[in-house]
Amino acid sequence: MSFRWDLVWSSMPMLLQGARLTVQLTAIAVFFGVIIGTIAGIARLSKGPQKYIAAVYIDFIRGTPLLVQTFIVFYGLPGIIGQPIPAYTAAVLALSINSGAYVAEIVRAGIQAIDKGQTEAALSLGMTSAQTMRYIILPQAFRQILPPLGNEFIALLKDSSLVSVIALEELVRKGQIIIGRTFRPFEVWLAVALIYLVMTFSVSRIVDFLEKRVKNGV
Amino acid sequence: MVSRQPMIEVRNLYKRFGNLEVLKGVSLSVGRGEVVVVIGPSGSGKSTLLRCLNYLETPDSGQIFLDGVEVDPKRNLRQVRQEMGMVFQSFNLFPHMKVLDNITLAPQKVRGTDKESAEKLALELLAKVGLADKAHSYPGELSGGQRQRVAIARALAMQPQVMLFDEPTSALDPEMIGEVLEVMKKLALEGSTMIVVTHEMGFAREVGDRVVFMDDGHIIEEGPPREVFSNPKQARTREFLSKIL
Amino acid sequence: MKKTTALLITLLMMFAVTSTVLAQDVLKVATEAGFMPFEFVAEDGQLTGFDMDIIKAIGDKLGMKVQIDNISWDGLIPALQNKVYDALIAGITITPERAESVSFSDPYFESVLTIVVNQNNKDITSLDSLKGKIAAVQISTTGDFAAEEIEGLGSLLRYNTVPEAMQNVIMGTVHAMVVDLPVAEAYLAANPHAPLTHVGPVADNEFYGIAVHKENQELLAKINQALAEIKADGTYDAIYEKWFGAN
Repeated sequence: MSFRWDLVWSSMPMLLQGARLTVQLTAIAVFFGVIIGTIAGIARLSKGPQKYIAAVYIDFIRGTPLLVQTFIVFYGLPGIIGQPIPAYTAAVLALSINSGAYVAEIVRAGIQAIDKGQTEAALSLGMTSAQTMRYIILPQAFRQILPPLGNEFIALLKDSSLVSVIALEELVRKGQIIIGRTFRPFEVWLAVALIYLVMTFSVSRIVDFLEKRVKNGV
Repeated sequence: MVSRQPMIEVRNLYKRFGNLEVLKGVSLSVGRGEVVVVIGPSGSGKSTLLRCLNYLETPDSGQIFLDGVEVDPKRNLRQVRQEMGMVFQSFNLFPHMKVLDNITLAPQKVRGTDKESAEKLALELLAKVGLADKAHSYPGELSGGQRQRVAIARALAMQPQVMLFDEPTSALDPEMIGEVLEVMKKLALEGSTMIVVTHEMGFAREVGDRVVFMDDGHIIEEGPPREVFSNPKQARTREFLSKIL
Repeated sequence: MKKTTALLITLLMMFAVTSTVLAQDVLKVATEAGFMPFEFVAEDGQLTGFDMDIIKAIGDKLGMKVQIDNISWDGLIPALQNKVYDALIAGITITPERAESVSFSDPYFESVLTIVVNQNNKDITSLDSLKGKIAAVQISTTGDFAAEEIEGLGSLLRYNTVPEAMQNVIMGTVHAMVVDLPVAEAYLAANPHAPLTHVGPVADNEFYGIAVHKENQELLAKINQALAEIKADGTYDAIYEKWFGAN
């Protein structure tokens, strides 16, 4: 069989549709993931019951496959709350909660990397722990964690393909549909891979750019 | 020196880190406007003593009084810390904020001062330490001596009753030590109450009202610098001074 | 010669002979065992079903041992094209599009699509009546292709397996599932407590075929021959009656 470039091109419109959903889902999930992860990361470092709740959450999510988490949200949760959850909502939920656990570890590491002297200086001026975290620690931590956060975004871009199991037509799923009709897996998967490459490469470039901006500003 | 109750009183302070006892029953009194210089070999507990005053370290037992009020970590620590300004060996400026913001942050967030007044005070203090033109620079752009002077201004901005200096020049290149000591001398002459942990004996002699020599978790000897330096009463004091003077 | 060496050589020769003999006689088949009653995994973990019995009967006629792998639905044809397998039997409907990529045997089963709905449903009776509704299908099946054609369909959700799609009808996340009628009936029978029913044939009849690689015309001829034989000698009827009752 000869390689058909025309199939690669003709698949593009449908694949790009799927890519749009992939990017959308990933962006929303990372957004919520950063919020959840920041709270969990700080909680993980604090003293009190929230420390253990955060630890359980982080360990459970990092210790189970995203696929299983997706199934739990989509097939399991409706049983508990008594009504079905739309697939898109389930996907955002599962991806956000998943992302949050990984971001929590990134945030925790970022906070712990900040010199102890910063906290001591803030406290010695009479600031509360909360003020110290808000004005001194977090702003510095966030500048440091841009690269790992970028990696998390890229990882999620690729992992988001799993939501195809609940019938969401992201990029990989669109590829499967085309193959189910054309029976040309190689051309289609190549096209899919190329699109993923463009997406992940773009994210890397953006992260690099933000990093440079941050370095020059500080 | 004044005869009212002491600004700072420390009674029988004990502190251990794991198995290592660092403070073994230290008692000290610092009067209003007094400049106390604490000297001693490393490991003597002098930094720990200073850091216990504002509870950056928690003493195991003993009492600390600020202007007659006992420091209680559960009840008045924040207020106490506002009245004690600390200057660190490694400056600890906030690198992501401009110099001016470094200085105005705490007055605004802790004392509730409005931005205008805070900035006005900050600029005055910067002028006092000789860095008025650096208000809009970032700490990363400054030399070590400049950073430490900003740190002093930042601590002063809270208008504390006591200034604590933890080896303020130990991390500086020699040519910058002078500019920092000058600022500290100025503060002393203005009547600030200061407790300074340092190895700079010249400063102790020139500016100190009292020298406290610590070794192995105890205060071995204290007195006016002239007396302690020329006529140490204790053998250990003599030993230490002979090594550094 | 030492005893151990002699023993080793004998064993090696036995192995060589047996494996050559065995190698010739294996028909490597793939299916997707999520399609009751054609292919599914029984409670004892064995692959079972109408298609399984048919292909084994064909294997017998050909004097070949049949080895069946259970793989994903949309991996079937690509695997066949890569010659990982000799044949596919998986309730695959013969369509002109598929016939461009693989060769099909003569039809071995006549089927038709139906729509599975909640048992309280009153308004879904045909493919067109799915206008504005949410339909589930198994990806890349004739149900998928038929639903795709519906004008004004609310949305089409493609699941990897039949049970997953059925589950969504039960859950109420979709209004209906378009699927082969015998499969719908088998699932409804296996899940009597599910609040589901189906509305009967909604499209033209379709035919299942066994797929082989286009270059393997020799095997195709043999399979067709065997198929004709089992139809003629009552084997086919017996299998049919086992799974669907009297024809």
